[in-house]
Amino acid sequence: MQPKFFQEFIESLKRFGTIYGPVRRNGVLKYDRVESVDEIELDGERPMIPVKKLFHPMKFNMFQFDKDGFTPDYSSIEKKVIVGVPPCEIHSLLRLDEVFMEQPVDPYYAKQRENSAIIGYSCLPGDDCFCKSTGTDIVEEGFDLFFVNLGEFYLVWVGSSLGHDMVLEREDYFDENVTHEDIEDYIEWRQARDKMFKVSFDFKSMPDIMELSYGSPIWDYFAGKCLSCGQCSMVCPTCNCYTVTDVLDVSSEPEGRRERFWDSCMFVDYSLVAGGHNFRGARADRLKLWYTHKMKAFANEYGKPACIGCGRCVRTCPVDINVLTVAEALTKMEVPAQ
Amino acid sequence: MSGGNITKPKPRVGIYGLTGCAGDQLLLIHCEDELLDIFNAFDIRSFVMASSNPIEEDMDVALVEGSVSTEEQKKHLMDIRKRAKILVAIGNCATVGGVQAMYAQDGTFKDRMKKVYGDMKFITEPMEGQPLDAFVTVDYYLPGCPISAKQALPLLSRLLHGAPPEPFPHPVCHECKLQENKCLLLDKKFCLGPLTQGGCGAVCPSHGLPCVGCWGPHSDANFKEHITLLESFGMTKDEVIRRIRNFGGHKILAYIKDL
Amino acid sequence: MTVCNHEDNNPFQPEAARIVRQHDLIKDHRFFQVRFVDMKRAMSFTYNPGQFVMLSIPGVGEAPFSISSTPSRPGILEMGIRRTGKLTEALFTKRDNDIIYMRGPYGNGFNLDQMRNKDIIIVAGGLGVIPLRSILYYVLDNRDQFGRLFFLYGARTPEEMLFRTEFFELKERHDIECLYTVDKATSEWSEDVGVVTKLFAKLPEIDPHQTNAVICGPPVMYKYVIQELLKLELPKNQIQMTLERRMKCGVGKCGHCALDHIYTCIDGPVFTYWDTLHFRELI
Repeated sequence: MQPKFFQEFIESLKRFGTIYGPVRRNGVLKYDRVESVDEIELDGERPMIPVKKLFHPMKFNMFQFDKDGFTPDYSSIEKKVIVGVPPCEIHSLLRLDEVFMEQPVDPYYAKQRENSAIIGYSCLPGDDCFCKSTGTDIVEEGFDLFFVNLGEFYLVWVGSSLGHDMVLEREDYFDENVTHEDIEDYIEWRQARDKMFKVSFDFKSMPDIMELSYGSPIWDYFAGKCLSCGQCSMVCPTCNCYTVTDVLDVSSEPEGRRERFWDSCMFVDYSLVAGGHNFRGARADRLKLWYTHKMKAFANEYGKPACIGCGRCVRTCPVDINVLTVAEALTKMEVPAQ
Repeated sequence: MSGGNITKPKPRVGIYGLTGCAGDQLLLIHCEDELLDIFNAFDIRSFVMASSNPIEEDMDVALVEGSVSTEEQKKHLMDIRKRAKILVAIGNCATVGGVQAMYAQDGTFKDRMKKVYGDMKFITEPMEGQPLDAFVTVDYYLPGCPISAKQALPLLSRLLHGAPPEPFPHPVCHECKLQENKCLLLDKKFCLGPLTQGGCGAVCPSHGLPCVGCWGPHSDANFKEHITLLESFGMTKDEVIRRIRNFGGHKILAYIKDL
Repeated sequence: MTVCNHEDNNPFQPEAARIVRQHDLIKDHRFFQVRFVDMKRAMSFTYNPGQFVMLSIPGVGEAPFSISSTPSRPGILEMGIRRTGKLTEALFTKRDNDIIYMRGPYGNGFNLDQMRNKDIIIVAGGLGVIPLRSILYYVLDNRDQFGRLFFLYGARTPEEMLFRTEFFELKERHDIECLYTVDKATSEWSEDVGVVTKLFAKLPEIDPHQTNAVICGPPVMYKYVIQELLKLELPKNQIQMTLERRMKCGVGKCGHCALDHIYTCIDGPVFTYWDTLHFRELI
C-alpha cells in the first residue's frame, strides 16, 4: 500500500469500531480515542501506558449493586479498532489472553477482546528495546492487519477474516502483486532492524538463574533501592493484577458499584490478609515475586516468559530497577555500579 | 442488606473544626452534586460552618478537622469523643498535626510563640499543634489538605451503611501513573509522590506540579532511598527533610528519625 | 480465541444466599449456615472438602472463606468465621434470614482419591479446624471408603475449642480416634494438656505408606506437626495442608495469591508438604 492512502484507509475503518491509537495528550503519548486520524503518532516513541489498558481498563465497574443484588456492568465494552500496536505489545495481549481467557473466562476482558480489531504497526527498536532477546520482535498471530513501514510502501499482512474484510473496504489501495524487489526490500529492512538493537540479554537462561538465585543478597540490594511506587507494574504490558472495592452511593439505599482497578505486587498490602498477617511485608519478597513472574514463573505455566522486551520498566523506574539491571546483577552476581 | 424495608433512623452527625483553615469543612459544603444526598441521608446536628444552631448531644459520627492547639480545644475534642460513636479525623491538621506542626518536637515552640506574640496573655493555654490521636482514639482518617471528595464521600456512605471505610494504602504514584503522567523524578524534578499517602487522585502531578506530601507519610515509603535520589538532583539533605516535614507533622518523625 | 457465552457466565457474579442459622462458637468466632436463595442452585451446589467460597456484602466487599460442612450433606453450606476484618465485621451484624452473596466453590480441595482406602490423620490447631471439619465429616459419612481415622485437635484453652460439643460427641463413636489437647487447661478439662504434637505419642502403630495426613492451623504449627509426621515416615506428598492467602477473584485472574508460577486460589489452597518445599514461599 502506498503511504498516501494510509490515513484515508484508517478513516474507512470507523465502520468497524471507534478508532484508538497512540495520540499525544498533555504532552504524553497515550493509547486513546482518536479524534482525527492525522493525530495518530507512529514510527517513534511508544506510549507510556501499554495497550493493555484498552482491554483491562485501569478502573471500571464490574457490577452495580442494590437491594436486589449484583448486576454485571459491561458498559466499558466498546467496539474498537486499535491502530499502531507494535509486535511486542501484540505479544503482550497474547500473554494476557493466557490469564484472562483461561477458564473461567474473565467476561470483561473477553468481551473487549472480541470487540476489538488490532491493526499492528512495525517499529524500529529504541534505545531501551530488547524484544529480540525475548523473542517478541516479530508477530505471526494476534492481529487483524499488520503494517510494515518500508518507506516507499507498506507491506500489509492480513491476519484474520476481519482484517480481510477491512482490506476489501478499500481494495483499490492495496496491491496484491508482491515483486521480488519488494521481498528484497523487506528482507533488507528486517536485517537492518536486527542490527539496531542496543541492549540485549540472555533471556533463555533467566528461569534457571532466577530459580538458583532465590536466596541471593542481590534482592536485598534492590530492595534497599526500591521506592515501592508501583510504576513498573502500571507500565508493564503483562502485569495483570487488580484489586476490587465496593463504593456505595451517598444514599440511604444500599446502592453502589463494585470497582476493579490496577494493583501492583510492589505495594505493601498486596499479600496482606485480614487479621494482619502479611505474606510479603518485606520489599525484597515483593520484588522477587515481580521478577520471578516476568522472567521465570509465567514460562513454567504457559511456556512463554511474561517479559516482552518493550523496555518500559527501563524507561520508567526512577531508581533503575528493571529487567535489564536485575537480570545482569543476578547473572554476574554483583550489584550494578553506582 | 439486612432490614431493607425498615426505616432506620438517620445517623446523627457532628462536624467540628479545631485549629485549621476550615478547608476540609468547606470541601464538604462544596460537594454540590451530593450535598442534598448528604443532608437527606444524615441527620446533621452540628456543623457551625453551615448552620449556626448546633445541637450538641450524643452522635453516631463526628468529623473533626484541625489540630489540637490549645487546652480548650483538647477539652472540646475529649467532649466530642465522649459523645461520638465514631470519630473521623479529617484533613492533614487533624491526622498529623498540619503545617503548624512542621517543626514538631524540635523544642523551639516556646521561643517561636514568644517571637510572634511577645508576652501576650492567652485566654487558653496554647500548645504545639497536635493530631487528634495524640489525645483520643480516632476510628478513621481522611487525610489531605484539603481532603478529597472522592475519598470523603465513599467514607461517609460506608459509615451510613455501617460498613467500615476502606483506606487507600498506596502511595501517590499509583494514582499518578493511572492518570498517565510522566514521572517528574525522571526529569530530575523534586516530587514527594513515593513518600506520600495516596488517595488524592495525584492532582498536583497531573498539573505538572510536584507532590508536596499533603496527604501525610505513606507507611511503606522508602524514605532513605528517596532522600538519596533527591540529593542526586542537587538538593541538600536538610532541604529535602524540611520539605518532607512541611505536611508531615508529628507522624513523619518516626519515619525520618534514623536518617 | 475461545468463544463462549459470557452473558450468563460471569464467574465474578455473586449470588444471593440466605443465612439459615448463625450462632457464636466462641468469642469472635461464629458459625453460619447458608443456602443459595435459588433452590435449584442450592440443591445442585456441590464441592470438595478443602474448597472455599467468596462471600460478599454489597458495599463492604468480598473475601474468601473455607467451607466447613461436607458435600455428603448437601443443601446447606456451613462456615466458621472469625471476626478479623472489614467483611467479617459486617457479617457479624447479620442475623438469621438475612441475605448475603456467595460464589464458588473454588480451589482444589483435598486429594480424596489419594486418601481413599488409607488411614487418615487429621491435625488441627485453633481455627484451622474449620476447613478440616469438612474432610472430617466427609470421611465419617463415607466411612467404608477410608481406613482408620485419627482426629488430633489442639486449642489454646477449653473455652477456645471450636465445635466443642459436637467434637466431644464424636468421642463416643468407635470408628474414629479423637485426641484433644489445650495449652492451658481448666479444672474440668479431662483431655490432654500441651501442644498438639504431644498427641502423636498416643497414636497406635501406623503404616506410613498406607496413611494420609491433613493439617491446618496457625503458621507456627506446621513445622512441628510436619516433623512428627516425617518421624512416622509419611511420604511428603501424603501430607496435605490448606493455606491462606489474600484473594480478590478466586479464579486466577487478580494475581494476589500468586507465588512462583502458581495461584493459591486454583492450584491450592490445599498443598502437599512436597509442594511447600518446591514452592518456597508457601509456608
